[in-house]
Formats: sequence, C-alpha cells, structure tokens
Amino acid sequence: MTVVAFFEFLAAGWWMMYVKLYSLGDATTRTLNAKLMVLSSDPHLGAIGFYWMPIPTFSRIPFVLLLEPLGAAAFAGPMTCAFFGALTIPMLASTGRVLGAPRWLVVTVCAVFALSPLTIYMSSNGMSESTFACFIALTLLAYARWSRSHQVWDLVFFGVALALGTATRYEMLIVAPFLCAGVAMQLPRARWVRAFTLAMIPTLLWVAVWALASKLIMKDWIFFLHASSGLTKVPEHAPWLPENRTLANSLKYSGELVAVLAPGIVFAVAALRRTFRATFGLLAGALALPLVSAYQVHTGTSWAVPRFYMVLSVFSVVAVLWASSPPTSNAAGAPRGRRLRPWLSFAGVGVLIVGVISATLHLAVQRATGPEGEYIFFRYLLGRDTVSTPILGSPNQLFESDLHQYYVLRDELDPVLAQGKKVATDVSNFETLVTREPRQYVVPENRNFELVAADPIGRFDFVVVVKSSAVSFHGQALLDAIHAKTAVGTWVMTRDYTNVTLWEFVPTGKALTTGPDAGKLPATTAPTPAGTTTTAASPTVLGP
Amino acid sequence: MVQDESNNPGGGTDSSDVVGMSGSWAAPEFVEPHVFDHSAESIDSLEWARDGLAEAFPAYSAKTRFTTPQRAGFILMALVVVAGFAFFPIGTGTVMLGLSMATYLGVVWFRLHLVMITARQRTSRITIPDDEARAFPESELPTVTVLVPAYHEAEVIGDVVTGLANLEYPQHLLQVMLLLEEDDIDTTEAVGSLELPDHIKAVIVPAAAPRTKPKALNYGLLTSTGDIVSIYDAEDVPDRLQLRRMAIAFTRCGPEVACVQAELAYFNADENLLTRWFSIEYRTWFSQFLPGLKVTDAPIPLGGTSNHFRRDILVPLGGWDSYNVTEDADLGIRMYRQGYRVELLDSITLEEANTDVINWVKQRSRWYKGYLQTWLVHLRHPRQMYRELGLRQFLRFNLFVGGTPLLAILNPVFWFLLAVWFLLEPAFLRQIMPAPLYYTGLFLWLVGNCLIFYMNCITAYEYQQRSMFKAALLMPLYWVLMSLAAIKALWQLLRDPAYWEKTQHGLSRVRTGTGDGRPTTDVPTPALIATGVAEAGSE
Repeated sequence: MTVVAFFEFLAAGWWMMYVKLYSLGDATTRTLNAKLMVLSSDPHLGAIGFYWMPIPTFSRIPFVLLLEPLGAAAFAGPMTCAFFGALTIPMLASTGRVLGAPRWLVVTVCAVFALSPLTIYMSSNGMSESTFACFIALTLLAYARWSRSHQVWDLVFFGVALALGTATRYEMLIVAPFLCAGVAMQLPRARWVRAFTLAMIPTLLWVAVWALASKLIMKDWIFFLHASSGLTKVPEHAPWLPENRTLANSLKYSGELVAVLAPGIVFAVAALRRTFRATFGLLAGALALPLVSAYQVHTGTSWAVPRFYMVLSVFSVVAVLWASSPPTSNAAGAPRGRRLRPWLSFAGVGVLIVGVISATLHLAVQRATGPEGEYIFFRYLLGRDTVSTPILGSPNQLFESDLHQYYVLRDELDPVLAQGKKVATDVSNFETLVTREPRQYVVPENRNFELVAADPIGRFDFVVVVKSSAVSFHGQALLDAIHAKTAVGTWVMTRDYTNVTLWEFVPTGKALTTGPDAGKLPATTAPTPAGTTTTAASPTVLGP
Repeated sequence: MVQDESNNPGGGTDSSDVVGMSGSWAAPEFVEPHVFDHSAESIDSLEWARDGLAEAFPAYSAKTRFTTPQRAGFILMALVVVAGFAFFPIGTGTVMLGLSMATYLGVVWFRLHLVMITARQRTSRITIPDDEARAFPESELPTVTVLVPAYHEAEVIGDVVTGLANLEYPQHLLQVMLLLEEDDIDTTEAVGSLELPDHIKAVIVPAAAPRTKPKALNYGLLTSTGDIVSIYDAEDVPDRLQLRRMAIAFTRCGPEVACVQAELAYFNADENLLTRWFSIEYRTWFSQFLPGLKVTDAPIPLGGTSNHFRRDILVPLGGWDSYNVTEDADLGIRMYRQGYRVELLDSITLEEANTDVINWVKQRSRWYKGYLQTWLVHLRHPRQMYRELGLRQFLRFNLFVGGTPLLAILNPVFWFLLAVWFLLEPAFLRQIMPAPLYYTGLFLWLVGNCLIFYMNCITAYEYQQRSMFKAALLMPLYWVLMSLAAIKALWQLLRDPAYWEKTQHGLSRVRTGTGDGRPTTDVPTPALIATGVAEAGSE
C-alpha cells in the first residue's frame, strides 16, 4: 500500500505541476532553498533561510540532486511530499498493530487515509504538511508503544519523534506539551515531572540548537519570528476567515474545520473511560492545534488556511484505532467493551469516510472565499472550473499558480548564462529553481550578495526583479545598485513577465542579447541622477 | 574449567614460555597478616610481575612510551603542522579543523550507534537468577582466586574483608589474596588487626617501580591457584552471588570466552552532585556502551574491577601490563586480538564514587592517560592490528578507545572556538572555516553535544530518582571537568606515563559495613542501585 500510495501521490503532484502548472509559492521557495544550499554559486546552509523549520527543505535535497540533471528540480517538492505521505501509512499501520486493532480495521483505515483527497493534496503540493503528518504519525506510534510498554526507550523514541516534528513545523511546539503530559500522566504521580522532562528534552534541545544556529548565521536568535512578522501579516480582508474575528467566531471557524476535516477525533472520547490519562493526552494534543489556531485568527497572527488543519486527519485515524482496540494489545478487555469494539470499528471507518467526503466538498465549493491553493486543487479534482482570486492584494495575481513564465525566462537566459554571463536576482525568483545554470546566479542567499549589489560593475550582467512587494525583499537593493552604476553602460528592461522583469546591462556601444530587441543597440537612453543611464522603463516603477 | 590447549583460538603463548623467560621464578609465600615478610627469593616473581609482559611481548607493553616509528611520525607531523601554520596558516587551520570535526563526528556517531543497538537488543548480558545461582552443584564450581590490590586503603580494607567474607561461595574453593605494598604500613597494620578467615591471605608486594596496580596483580597472579582469577578493588562491595553467577556464566560460554565482566555502580551515587554525575556516566558506560560493544563483537576495554579471568588464558597472555595505568582496558584489547572474547554479567559490584573534585580529576586523568597509552600501544603496528581485527573492529577500537580521551580533549577546543566566534567574529576564523566545514562543524558540535547530553538524561531517568535526573540536566558542567582531566592526562602522558595517580578512597560519608552490596548509611541510596542489587539477588 505504501508503494502504491507513493506513486498515487507522485502522479497527483505531476498532474498539478506539469498539467495544471500549479505550484504553491511557499512550496517552490522551499525547493529553491534546497537547491541553493547545494547547487548555487555559493552553496551553504544559510540558504535554507531560517524562516521555516528546516526538515521539509533539508529532506528535498536528495530529490533536487536526483532531478536536477533532468531539469526537473522543481518537482523535488511534490516528490518529497509523496515520500513522506507514503511513509505515514506504515506508521499508522504499526500504531494499529501496537494497539492490537483488528487487521481488517488497520488495512481499511490506512486505505481510507491513502485515498483521501486531503492526504493526496497534502502529499503532492510540495509543502510541509505531509512531512509534518508523517512525524505526527511517528509520534503517535511512539505514544501508543509507550502506553503499552512504559519502557524508557519508547519514551525516548517518543521524545525524538516530537523533536523531528518540531524541526518540521513550529506548530508541534503547541502539541508537544499536551502529548508529553499525556505520556507522563500514565505513570505514578511522583514520576510525572521526570517523564515529562525526558520526553520534552529533544524538542527543547532542538529549539535551542535552531535558535543558536539562527543567531550564528542570521545574527538573530529568533529570525523566523522577526521575518514572519513582516511577511505573514494577515490581510484585513481574508475572505475565508470570519469577517468579524471575535474569539467566538474564531473558535467556530476552527471547530467547523476540525469537524469537516477530521471528524474521527471524536472517537477518542470512546476510549476515555478505559484509558483516561492516555486518551486525554491524545485528545488534548489533537485539539491544541485548532484551539491555538483559533486564538491566532482572533489576534490576526495566522492565515489559518484549511491546509493548516489537514494534519489532524492523522489524529483522526489514530483516534479510531485507539477507540477500537483493547486496553492492552493482548488483552480482551471487559466483556461489555469486547462486544462494543466491533461496532466502534465499523462506526469509526464510516466516520472517516464521511470525513473524506465532507472535506472534499467543503473545500471545493467555497469558490468565492476559499484560499487559492486548496480551492484550486479541490475544484480541479471535481472537474470544475477555477478562477484565481487575488487574495494577496498584489499585482501578482497568479503568484501561486504559474510556473510557466519561469520556463520561458529560463529558455531565454540559460544560453547566455552558459557563455559565462551572470545574473543577480531576487529571493523569490523561481527561475533560479528551473535554470540549468544555477552557478551563474547571484542571489540574496549568497553571502557576498550585499557587496555585489553595492558594487555591481562587472559582477553581473542581468537582473531579474520580482514585482510583488509582498515577496520582493531585495528588489530595491538591486535597483539601487543600478542607480549607483557609473556611466559605462545602459540598463535595459528587456522583458516584462507576469511576476518578474528581466534587466540587461549593455556596455556602451554594445547590442542587447535578450528580449525582442536582441542584437540591436538600446533604443533610447535617459540619464539618472547617479549618472547611470537606463532605458525602456524607469526602474523606480519596480520598487516596492 | 581448565581449557585444553587445542581450544585456544588465539594461539596464546604457553605459560611455561612466559615463565621461562626468566628461567625460573619463586612463588612468594603466603604470609600471616601479623608476620609480614618478604625475602630475597621473591625477587624473580617481582621481575615477572614488573616486566613479564614487556620482555615476552614487548610490542604489547607500555614500558616503551613511543616506539621509534611513532616518535618519528609524531615529530614529522609536528613539523608539518608548524611549517603549515608558518607558510599556509589558513589551509593548515582548515585541515586541522576538518580532521578534528571528522574525529568528533566518528566518535559521537559510534556512541549513538552503541546506544541504539543496546536499545534494540537487551539481552547482551548473561543473567543468572538467584535460585539458579544457589542451586548450582558445588562439585561443578571452579576454584577461584580473588585478587584485591590495596595501597593506602587502611580506611576501607576492613569493609572489603567483610564483604569478601560474605561472598556466597564455598570457602574451600576460594582463595582471597590481599595484595599489600611493602611500604604501606598503615594498610598492613590495618589488615594485621583483622581476624582473617582461612581463605583470605595477605601478600606483601615488594616496593619497586613502577608503583602500579597491575604490577601487584601480576605478583598475585603467579601465586594464585584458582581456575578463575577475579579482581576486586579495596573499596568494592560485590553482589554476594557474583562468583556463583560468574562460574555458571563460564559454563554457558564457549572456549573463546576468557573473561566475564560484572557491572560496576556506586554505593554513594547520591552523595553529592559529583557522585551523581559520576554515577550517571558510569551507568551509561556499563548499561549502554559496553553492551553495545558486546553485541557488535567489538573489542571491550575492561573495567578495572569485578572482572573474572580464566587463569589458563590469562597467564600465557602475560598477565597485566604493569606500565599501563588502565591495564584492564589494555588486557581486554589484548585478549580480543588473540581471539578471546569477554562476556558481560548481570551482577553489580558497588564501589565508592569520588566525592572530591580534585581526587576525581586525578582518577579521571589516569583513566584517560591509560586509554591513550592503550591506544598508542595497539597502534604500534596498525597494519597487523587491522589484519587481526578486520576493518570494522579496527575502526571501533579506534573510535572507542582512542575516541574517549580525544572527545574530552576536542570538546573544549570547539567550545573555545564557538565562544570566540560568538563574541568577536574574528576574520581568521571565517577564513579557516569555509562554508561546508563551518556548517558541518556547527551542526555536528551542536547535535553531538545534545545527543550525549540526552544519553545521560536517559540513564538518569532509569535511576527513578529525582536528584539524579536534576544532576543529569547539569551534566555539561561535568564535561568541563572531564576536559580538564583529559588535558592533564595528555600532559602526563608526555611527562610521566607510568605514574599512577592514586585515587583516595574512604572519603565518602556512606559506609558499607554489611558486605552484601547494600550500604549502611543515612544518605539516600539510588533506587536503581538498590533494585539492581536486589535483582542481582544478594538477598
């Protein structure tokens, strides 16, 4: 089932990326970071960005290296997602076995999980959710093992799995204390603090390591927080969120999504009487995510798109297995419980299937209000038309769905780059991802970027500037560099793509090499205050 | 228990060959405690005790600190490094750092590997339940000689005598030898004041250099009569049934097993922060690293006490190296190279953990120095060792025996570099650390330290005692002490390699009068130790 699921997810990813030309911006950026870490003109760890947790980016490096020779590095994102999505299935199956769930139930819930459009979406969109789901499944497997064995090595396994989850997404920091409390409370009270601490140590150590690395490399202990405060400011008008974001409305928003995407969680309640503390920890861990998310919606600190809630489907599956299993893997349990369990199993499978349908419909029908990523996928899945909604308030309306322009740009630039020319570019220029000449790029991730931008003479021949103010961090630096250029040549904007513009430096008396006027001398020139001459378009229009 | 020569897989030298190097030797007489006497005829025994190994197998003895090729190699390396720093400082710095990081990576990875193996496979120790140990027929038990070297141990010698007297082993099969140094008047008098049972005797070891424990052990070995030779330190409190368990363990093992090593723990583990740290580290060593080595069939450096040898193998091997200050670790490796193996026994001997920092640093520096000595000795002919061990075990030997002191030496280097980089960001550091090296090094250093820290926490958790767990959280401070000891060891290796830093015993407030593996004390006993002893079945 794992292998079949892998190819299922892979096919979905292929369909989205190459048939529908659809790719989420953050997914592409992660893959780009991975590529820059190993295949740029200055390969280094700092290219990881220190904005997101690193595992989703690190883990796609092998796939980038595998696919780069085929010119398909961009597909490393969906491939990584498919890998982790498929890996989640044996984890869930192992959890079922540890809990002593009947084989038919384990196989059925794994099949439902693998065929769910939620899982397919998570495992093919190139984002971090499937990796996160995989580590949540690993954590819950360890949780189940610990609940059955109380062996210290299972506690260690649990702690390490939690840390891996934390190294994947920050949200695990919300779940971790609840699950750790659930782990500790299964022991006599005198041992609670030690068990809790031992389980939390790997996570805390990871956070410390991440902060220290962030400080050493980015000169900021909490770079991600400072970076995200500028980036993830929730727009006032986010149509999928409640218009009036009171706490009650925010809770309602989160609650609805939990009910629609992961209704199986409610099954954990059935096990509360049998194993109260363990089940309480499981439930608390599962519900902590949407509760905190609701609070963030209320305070305007999270986009809280439905994608963030999709990992709850793992909790949903485990809750059904948990409720349908005997208290210990080899025990039959009380007679009444024994009679109830088959019915609980059937009901659990039914609820999981209902959840799959409700989630698909819910995400597909919200044409006017749905966030672009989820909305487009589920509309496509049901064979419906899609209309991209400009949710970012940016001129780049198709930011998240159009990779095509970068392939066109690549085809234009790669031949001249192969001759040794250099191009400086912005952080979110995905052309860097699809090019076959990555070493010719000067990108903000390069440690000498500021120097190069400040003194560009002879250091680069082209500039690619991202238009969107929301994602262009270094465009201004590049434009300033152009202004500071002495009058030894001319900067010409040779192409205007959907998301980016291409600028070429043309030495005095030389012809253009790119754009529709390639081979001709620049048409007009206009002196700038700094002595630089620019043509065709004023660079100031490109500034944020 | 006596093994046929044909069963000797390593083809160890016949004992007569070893003895024959000096033509003949005179066994020292047992002396009554109150009539201490040593005569001129004991000199030959002393020669054997001191130089037996060095003369029979000079390549295995640390009597020679560095061989000529080693000395030449070190000088050459030093010259290359100095010249490198003089002419290519950046490149040389980069290479040195790269090598250090590779070493660090190897050692940390191997330790993690051992822990993972131990976590997966929990049956690497031989366990003999109490009833089985007691029910074993007396007629099938081997004769055992227990050697107890004691030097300036007047404070604790009474306790060990009581403990040894309480061992549940037929007295007519047991020979206990207290090995006292000629010039140690206090201990001699303390023993003289005791009423020793018939099977416990005192032997005076003539005062002569090197003043080491292995020399005393060799001296005792020659006069021992047991099929099995067991070693206990003067402050040890072994599990009462340990000798019976050991005897049964030998019957279950193949002829290649030359030694059974029992587990060591501390009776005063919870006395202060230092003893807690020490106990956690010891427990990690014995419950995670050594079982991992056993499972992977790697060479096991023996612990200094509670190891039980087959005499018919030990004597032909030349006994202990009297010039090596961790003669136990060296013997473990030597046995392995000859094709013999070590088994681990699920039985605990309680020792006294150092309660004093200075005393601890002295002891630890001796251990590190001994590991360095052992490493250098066995790497005198690396190609031969490689042929004997194969690639995997050769690497494991280097990572464990060499890596233990090296890790402690390298750690402060990396801390220092990190601190300097953090505070000053000097240009030269940026220059000698190109990106791949910098990031790899940073990652390894951070993750490596975290892993080792977590291993200690896991061990502390198993104690089921709050104070131990709290101590584990402060363990990085203990690493500083370890590094101090390692640097001291390195210095001493160059200055005075065979000098035996005496560990002072009897400093603990915890007393061990019962001799049954349980302390008599008002200081709380770590639950694990108590449990371990109970499980080991002393009562």
